[in-house]
Amino acid sequence: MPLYTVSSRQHLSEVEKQKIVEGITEIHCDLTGAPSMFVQVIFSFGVTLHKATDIHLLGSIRSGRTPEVKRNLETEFTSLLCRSLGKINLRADIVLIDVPASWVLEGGEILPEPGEEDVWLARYKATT
Amino acid sequence: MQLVGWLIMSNRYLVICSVVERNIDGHQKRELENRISALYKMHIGKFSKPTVVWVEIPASQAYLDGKASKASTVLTSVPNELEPCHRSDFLYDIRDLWMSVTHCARNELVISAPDQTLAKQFLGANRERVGVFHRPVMTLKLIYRALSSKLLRGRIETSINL
Repeated sequence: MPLYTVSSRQHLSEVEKQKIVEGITEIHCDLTGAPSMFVQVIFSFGVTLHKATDIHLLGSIRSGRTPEVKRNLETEFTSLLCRSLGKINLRADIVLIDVPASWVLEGGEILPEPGEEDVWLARYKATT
Repeated sequence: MQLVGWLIMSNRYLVICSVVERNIDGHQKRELENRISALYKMHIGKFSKPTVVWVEIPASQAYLDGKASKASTVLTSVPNELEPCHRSDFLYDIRDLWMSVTHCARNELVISAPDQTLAKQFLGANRERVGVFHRPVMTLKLIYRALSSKLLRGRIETSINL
């Protein structure tokens, strides 16, 4: 968590995928302060999106992010997708779904609430 | 995804196992399905009926921490407002089961146990990315995949690619 699914009509190239993956990971970590080690990105191709949509991004993120953080995520992701695919007027549809941290297990343990990662990470690293 | 809406009912629980292609073999999938079903009966109720759907992801389409990944992502829907201690016990038992069967590392597994309502929201968001007029086609395609894989391999399998 977070888990981001990027959907497009056609397959994306390796270069495009890598740009998107690196960008999503960086943006998510910069804006939320979350560690990058759990940022997942998967691609779904062959999706007949809405006519008015060129690319779709569905993100499952931990609950507790402020509306401002979510708005910034949406803005930055849209800009990233435009840059990565080389289209200034790309129509990106961004959907974020909140998932309570205590409903997710990752790295072998239930996830910490946003902002409580340090103790969790210290425990995780101590047992690695 | 529309098809699975009917699964979100009182005793039926949807389990979506998203796995990187060729990472888990058929024997392991069969064992996981059987034992996940047993865990549902133990934690959720003896009449609970999980339906396991396997979603295969090509290796070049899955990333974690910016790098190619072979992590499995397992969604196990549970009754709304399940007690936190029951939910966490269930999550830990799914973890132990998955790791014992697949021998994956602990950072190669993500498990969520959302309320049925949230699982439905997630499925709805997946369905709604598709254009309205193409949804029936997508639904038929998914039904075909589900039926043919059930007949050929005994389990419901599909691909992340439509």
